Amino acid sequence: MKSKIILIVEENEQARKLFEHCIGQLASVESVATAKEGLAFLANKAVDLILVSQQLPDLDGPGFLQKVRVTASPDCPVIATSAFAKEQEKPYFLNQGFADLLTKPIRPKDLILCLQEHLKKETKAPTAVQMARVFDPVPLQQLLKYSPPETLQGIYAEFIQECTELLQPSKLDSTIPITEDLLRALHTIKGNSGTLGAEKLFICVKQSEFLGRQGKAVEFTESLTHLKAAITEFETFLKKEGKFYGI
Amino acid sequence: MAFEKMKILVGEDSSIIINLTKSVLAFENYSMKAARNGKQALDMLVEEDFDLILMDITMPQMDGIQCTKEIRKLADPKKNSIPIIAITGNAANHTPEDFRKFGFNDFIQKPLNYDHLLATVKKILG
Repeated sequence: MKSKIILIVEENEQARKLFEHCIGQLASVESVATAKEGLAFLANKAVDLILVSQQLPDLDGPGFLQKVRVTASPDCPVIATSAFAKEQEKPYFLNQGFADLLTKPIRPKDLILCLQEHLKKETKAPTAVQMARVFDPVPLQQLLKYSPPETLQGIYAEFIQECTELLQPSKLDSTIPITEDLLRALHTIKGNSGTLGAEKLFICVKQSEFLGRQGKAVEFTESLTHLKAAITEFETFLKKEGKFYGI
Repeated sequence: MAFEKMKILVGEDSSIIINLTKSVLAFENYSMKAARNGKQALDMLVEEDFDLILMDITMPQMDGIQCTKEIRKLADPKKNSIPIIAITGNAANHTPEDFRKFGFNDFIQKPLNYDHLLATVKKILG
């Protein structure tokens, strides 16, 4: 169990120290005080479980969870801790996608039992697309060192437009002819999506290009449906969350 | 006397990569021009002096490998010895040895990591 990593996102220093002390006996612990720090940490490192306070200064719990799901991990258990929620409100938190709710004050024994239970759960091996995040923030963080946000905003918009245009002629209700032009277009989207951190889109387009090169017409057409969905998902993500990441 | 900016030619058919690369190179005070295919890159190099070329492998009309081979055949010793860095989205297709044989000085992979790209450029241009 010691090989597991748990991230604590907790604004209250005293609570954070207590959690660190208790959890330290069970797993490796990383702790931060804000949602932003938590997301920055997760951008570079995978963890096995996250414990997140519902009273963070910069983001509410469900908002944090949603960002974790799209940019860090689609399935890592995230447990809510709250000083205000009552035990009866647990269904609400589960409904939001939290793995559990711990109401403060939390007894160390309850904390350990809860974490043990969630760390033990076996997960089915997910596919590459399921594993992928909609957005990997690291390439953008890197690009922001060199380019002003407005330039990058324009480039991301151009990327979405390029994706949409390149796949425009393909009517996905019948088998799509595999042409050299289409494969070239997919190759371009592949390079661009990876460079811009559109992780899921990158994996989808890589798959499409591969199937196209293999001449597998039916699977190829099906893969384009997934690709179109990934493009729409990334576009929606940029509209809703782009500002948070600096563009 | 003011230093003249180092000039980099980028052979790349994606305008997104061209725009990103331009702003990254400008940050390090390099000037950049873009060619949209290998044929255009070759013509531009013949017309104008550059200090380095970043060459995408997959381009329409003339690909990056063919273009590099043509450049190495040019008569002008300054032109035919220009450092060329390959940019490849299909690194699995070639070994580092292949890239050297094609005439490239180095290669970087897509998706591009711009910290790495700049480090590779600086290693050659200083």
